[in-house]
Order: sequence, then C-alpha cells, then structure tokens
Amino acid sequence: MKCSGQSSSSRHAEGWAFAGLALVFSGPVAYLLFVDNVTMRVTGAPAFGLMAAGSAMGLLGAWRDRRRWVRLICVLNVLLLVGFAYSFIWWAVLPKTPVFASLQTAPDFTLQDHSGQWVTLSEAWSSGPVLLVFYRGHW
Amino acid sequence: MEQQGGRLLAVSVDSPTESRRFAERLGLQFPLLCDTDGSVLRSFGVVHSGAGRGGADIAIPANVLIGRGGRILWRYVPHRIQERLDPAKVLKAVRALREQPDLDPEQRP
Repeated sequence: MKCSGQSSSSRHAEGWAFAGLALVFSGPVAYLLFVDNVTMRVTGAPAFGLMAAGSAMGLLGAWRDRRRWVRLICVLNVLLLVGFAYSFIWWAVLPKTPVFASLQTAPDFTLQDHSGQWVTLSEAWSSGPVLLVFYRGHW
Repeated sequence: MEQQGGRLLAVSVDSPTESRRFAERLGLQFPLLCDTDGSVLRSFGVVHSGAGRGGADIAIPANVLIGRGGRILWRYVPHRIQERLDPAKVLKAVRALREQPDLDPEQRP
C-alpha cells in the first residue's frame, strides 16, 4: 500500500524477494520429500504452486523496490521456476519404444542374477507366467 | 505374484555386485538379472541411450508379462520417468491368466 509522501525509490521490499526465493527453493524440496504421493509425482502441482507463489512474491518485490540486486533475485526466482518446469515436463520424457510395442514373442535369453545363478527366460516361462521388470539401475 | 503362480524377474545393466548391493539395501526377494552388455535390452527395444552414468545405455523402465511359449500377454511402458506401474493392474492380469491360461493377448483385463 502506497504511503503518501514516500518516494517509490526509497521503498525497500527485499523481504518479498527473499521470501519469494525461499518459496521457490521449497518447491523442488517439497517434490523430493513427497515424491511417493501420486499427485505430486505425476503432476508436480504442489511444487509448482509453491514456485509460482515464490515467483509472484519476487515480482512483487521487484515492482516495489527498484534496486538492481532485488530485481536480479526476481529474475532468479522466475528462472528457477522455468528450470524446474523444463526438467519436469521435457527432460523427464522417455524415448518412444516402437520395437517393444510391436513384440509378439519375447526374445529368449540367459543372464546371471545377483546371486550368480544363471536364469534362462524360456525355462521360466515354461512353468508359469513371467513378469519381466526392466529397471534403470545406475544409482 | 508368486501366489498367483507367476514369477518376477528384474533386468538392468547393473553388474552382479551392484545388483546384490541394491537387493540387500531394499530387501528384494526376486532375481535381479544382469544384462551388462545391454543385449537383452536391445532385443526387447527398451534402451535409453546415454541416460546412465558416463553416458551409458540403461533400461527404459518397462514391464512385460510373458506366457506360454514366450507369448507376450501384456506390456507397460511409461512416457515420463515419473510414471510408475500400478501393481494391482499386474496382479489382475496374472490372476486372469490363472483362470484362463489361453487368454487372448488382445483381451487384456
């Protein structure tokens, strides 16, 4: 709220900028903490909400406070939001798998398991349904 | 899964040592198969090129249910790394197989 007689250049609103920055950082942290929740993991909505609120506060701070470093924090807030959105939406996309989609019969194989035993897929499927779970590893 | 007469096999490019550590850390009871050269991933078409450590090829986290004769009965592949398979859906598919062993693959439950 503007106070009459106070010039806009002397209004200091760095609190908004820093609070906004804290909120923006809390978005990815919240995502990691609550990643097992389906809504959080697939849509990221709560994390985006926090980052949007943080960016809005940063923008408000930059509007009220004309100092350059405060405006830089505002830009940083928005960049972090954009970076998170990019990671979440585009970087997370997996390649298409047309070969996998068109398989009719599973290719047989023999591989060693983690205890050193050799496992042949065709032997496994002859005694019942086999669920093959491919996982990324490299953790 | 085993109660329904099914068997679970996990596959990654991790070595037996890395897989053993992973199994111990999570207390996994099923075999972790080591496709260290990625040939099995390639034959199934589930390679994520360059996505692993040092640009190595790793698996896309797909799942496939295989029946008699190697027939593929059911498959799942996520579009983004955040997506995960609902275990209930898999158990439903396995249970249906037990009741109808010659289930047509097009008639997925």
